[in-house]
Amino acid sequence: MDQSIKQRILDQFPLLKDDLSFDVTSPATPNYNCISWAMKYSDRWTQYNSDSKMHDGIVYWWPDGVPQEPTIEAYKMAFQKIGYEGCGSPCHEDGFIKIALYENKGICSHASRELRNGLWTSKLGQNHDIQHSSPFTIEGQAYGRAVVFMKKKFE
Amino acid sequence: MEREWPLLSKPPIILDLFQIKFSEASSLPQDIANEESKIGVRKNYPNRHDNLNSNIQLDKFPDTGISTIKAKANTRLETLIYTSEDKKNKVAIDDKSFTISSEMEYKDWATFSSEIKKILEMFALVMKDIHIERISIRFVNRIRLNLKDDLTEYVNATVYVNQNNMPYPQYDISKFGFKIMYRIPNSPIYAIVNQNIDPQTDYCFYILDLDVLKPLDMSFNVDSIIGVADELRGIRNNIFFNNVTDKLIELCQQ
Amino acid sequence: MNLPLLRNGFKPLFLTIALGAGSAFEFAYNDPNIESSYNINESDPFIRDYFNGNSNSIFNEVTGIINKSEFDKLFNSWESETMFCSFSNQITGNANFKKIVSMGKYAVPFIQEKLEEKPSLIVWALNEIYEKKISNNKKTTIEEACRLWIKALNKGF
Repeated sequence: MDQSIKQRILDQFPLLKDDLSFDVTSPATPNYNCISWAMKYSDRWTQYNSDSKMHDGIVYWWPDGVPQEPTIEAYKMAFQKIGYEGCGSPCHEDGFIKIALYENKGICSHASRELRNGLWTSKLGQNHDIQHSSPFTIEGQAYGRAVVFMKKKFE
Repeated sequence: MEREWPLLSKPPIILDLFQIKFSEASSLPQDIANEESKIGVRKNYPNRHDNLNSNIQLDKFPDTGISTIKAKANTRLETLIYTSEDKKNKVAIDDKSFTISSEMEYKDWATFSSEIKKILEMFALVMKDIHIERISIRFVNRIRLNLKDDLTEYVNATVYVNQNNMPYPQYDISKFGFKIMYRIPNSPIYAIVNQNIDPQTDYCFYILDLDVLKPLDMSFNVDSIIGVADELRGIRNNIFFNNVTDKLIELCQQ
Repeated sequence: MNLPLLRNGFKPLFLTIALGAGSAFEFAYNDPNIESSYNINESDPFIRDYFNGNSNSIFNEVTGIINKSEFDKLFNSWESETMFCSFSNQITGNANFKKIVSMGKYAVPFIQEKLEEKPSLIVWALNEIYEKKISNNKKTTIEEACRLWIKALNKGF
């Protein structure tokens, strides 16, 4: 692993410096974004349709009945439509998969997912997947704060 | 080849220019500045722009830091440019040339010629002793065409490509320009024709710049000068109307 | 605009060859003294540019003589500013990205070079320049789309 990549990530997410579980867990790939990764997809760029449907590789996924807006409330509703329900904390619960939604400047900016081992994983834009100990260690200027936690039973 | 020239209701001229070149008369700009009120040029050309050339002799080499020095300056008025209020009409004088130009909408030759005559008569007082070496007129035409237009539908002389020696597909021309110099038979008159294609966003400009010049040897006489200008006009029209097609002339009538 | 093809030999221009030795004139092709001069002070900008022969902006914006280093600067800034962005509008709304798209088809060779180095979301600039996707198959990943674009461009898209 090129140390300069880790350093760039640490520069952007300084709370990871003290996160002993922080690691880069995949090569950089533009194939998927954080929403896809939170939904366990690695072959598409999933998002709310904010512009025209003209970009390759993007799945514009938005369940019926959910407001067409990039707000936390809308994303929360969207995840509810696929079986997630709100929960009060990111703490591990056996039998459940959890996600965290982040808010920055009034819009949903990121999503991360809990792994089976209790650590968390995030896809950083068009770059790498990383592993981190909690959803809070990637809070900061880039993604804002983790404000909503949701869970779904493992299938 | 002379023929009856069509009258264009919308001549595509963006600049028309008349110029006299003469043997060096280094004091002419200053003389004109001195006699400005008598000449009366400021009535229609109220703005004046001066270019000065100055030789400055210092009495001693300045000390470092801030100091006071004396100097002798020998300053000469090199160029005078009078412009109309809207800056579109100009009269420019330097020690070798006198130029009348306009970027306004061109009406016709009669209007252009009578304006030249009027200005020459204004300046005759000061210019009477100059020795003319060349008289010229220059007209820059600009025509708007579509990018997909075939240029040969609009002009008769342009750049061609030998089809037999082109194994590769034609590439889009983004810009080109070329210059032709003509010598008019049995006369000292010559013409310089610049053709350019100048692309814009979704259209292009075709520029046809006609410069017709007559070297000669004469003293300042307004009627004679206008006579030469009329002669140059005939040649300019020949070149223009022989170079453009009826389709382009139609564009200039719309 | 295409150059006209020469099919039947050169069309004669009514050009008279200048007299040889003994002629009163030496025609120096680019001698400014041989033309009517024009003072461009306070002229219309188009006329000023024409006489100055100064049309860098026209070249850069319209005729596609784009400097590679200008493109690289925009690309690098875009990449650095959007590297952790999660949504396409953040990436395509970036000012540097928009400038690349505004270069139009003249930027395509440079974009292709970047895609050949590694797959990248700059492929979305091709979608915007050509106003189409390379594949409507929902299973086409971005990496696959990059490969398809390179193939199509090499074939003369």
